[in-house]
Amino acid sequence: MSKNSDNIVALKVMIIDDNLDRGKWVASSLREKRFDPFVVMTDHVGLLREISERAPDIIVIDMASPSRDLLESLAIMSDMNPMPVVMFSPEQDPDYINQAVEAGVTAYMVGDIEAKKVKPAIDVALAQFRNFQQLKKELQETRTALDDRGVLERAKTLLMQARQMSENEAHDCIRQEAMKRRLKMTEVSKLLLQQHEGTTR
Amino acid sequence: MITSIGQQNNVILGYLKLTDAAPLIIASELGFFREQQLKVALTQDVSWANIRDKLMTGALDGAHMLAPMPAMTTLGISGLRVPMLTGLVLSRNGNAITLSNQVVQDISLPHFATSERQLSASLLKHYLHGDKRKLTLAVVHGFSTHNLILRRWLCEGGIDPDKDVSIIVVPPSQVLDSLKNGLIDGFCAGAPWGSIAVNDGVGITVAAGVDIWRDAPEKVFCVTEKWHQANVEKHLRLRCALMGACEWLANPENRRQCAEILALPQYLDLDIDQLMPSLSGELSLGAAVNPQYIADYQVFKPAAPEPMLFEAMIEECLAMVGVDIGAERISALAQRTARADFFASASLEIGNGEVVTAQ
Repeated sequence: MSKNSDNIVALKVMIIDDNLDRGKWVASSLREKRFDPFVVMTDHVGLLREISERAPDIIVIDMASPSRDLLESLAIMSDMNPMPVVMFSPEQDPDYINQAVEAGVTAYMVGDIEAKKVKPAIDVALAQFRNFQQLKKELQETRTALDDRGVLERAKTLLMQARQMSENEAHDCIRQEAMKRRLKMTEVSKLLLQQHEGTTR
Repeated sequence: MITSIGQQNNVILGYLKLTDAAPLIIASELGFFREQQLKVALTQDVSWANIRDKLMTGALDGAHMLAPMPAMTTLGISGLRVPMLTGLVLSRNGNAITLSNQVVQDISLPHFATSERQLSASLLKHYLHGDKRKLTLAVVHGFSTHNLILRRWLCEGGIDPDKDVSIIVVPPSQVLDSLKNGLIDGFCAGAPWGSIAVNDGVGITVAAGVDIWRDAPEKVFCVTEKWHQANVEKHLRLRCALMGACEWLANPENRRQCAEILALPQYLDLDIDQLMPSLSGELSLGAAVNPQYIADYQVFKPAAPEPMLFEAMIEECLAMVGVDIGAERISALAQRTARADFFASASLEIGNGEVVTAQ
């Protein structure tokens, strides 16, 4: 994100459109403090490079662009910052748009682009995207929590076996060590396990 | 006799600009759909994501689709979760790995005898040492046989596909330009893009998909679970028609006519000469100047989506993105999305020519 003169963080909006006039027109409809729009052509083979160099916060793209597969792969396959995508669609059927959005396509927008529709579409996309990212984050946290618990359990078992402690004693031992060293219990557990691996190798 | 076809028999199917869209195009052009009392409109699309979204919303009834996609979409791995299935494998093989002239020149010619048709990825190790830059290779979709084939080829040569090279997605229609402009150093794509790169003198095909993963299911006929449930009979007739087209395509004598039809402006809009190499299996591979015949380069033969085969593919795709759902769920997912029983029912229908009743 870039800061403009008023020190407001503006969203970098990348508009991918092979119709340069239309792209510029969309950009001009986003001239307000919270947006920092720029246009790139769809047939630009360096789209990927463009994305990594300019790091947009949001992408607006024509649904009829073959680059959609590329954008999607960025979100799924790589650790490059995923970003919400707004799509212009030639489909006029409102059900189509609704269903697409419900099913998780970040946001579709009907063909005839109107200035008053661009901003709401971006807001919908951002909201959808944040929901999705939140879910992903929660999943990640759950995984980490499970991993952490596994480490702690293994460290306790190790102490119980190696030093004939009870489970409570092993737990207290790790807790005290953690307090003494100002570390998390899982960090102490990892150290213990590493140390053990080192001595038995 | 012209039979009138009611509105309820209208179907819209989607495809991408690829040689293996042939079963749909041939079924439409040569009357296989009409034989099944179906009125089919074909629409060409620009991306797999679009085709998938249109299936999901009902803008398309069915489409040819990358084999791993029905399972991946059913699982919702791309953010969208819509149950999809396939009852028919339309094609097998047909992909190739093509590298830029520069890379091939850099790594090898002495190793690459004219009789060899496959170059080992181990030669790319040349690029991993010293100040050589990292190679960028393209596939046409993340969840595709192309990606799996490229990764297998790299692994066999001792190259780590995640660390030693970078693999990006470039739409099939853009791989040629990207190679020409040096944005990528090579790609794995379906026909005809590899042969066109060779014909245009911008790349050299170093490995054929058939040599890396024999009889890999490539494109499947895909519908949503919901659409299938509402159109069981129509789905059956579509499978029958497409199986007829695949049988027709399996005859090598028909491949020329197939190229003529695919070349039409309303379909692939390419020269027949650009389409024939992969269809005839006579291709220029590696350093060999003269085309050589490769059996089964592009197979069109109706086949059942065997869940066992799809299980392995699903597992490989999930491993690629670091997702582990366990063997049991993978097996259930394969059973749900790869419907060999649907293939059996269509075979029965064709074989007997009339509805088989119990008793």
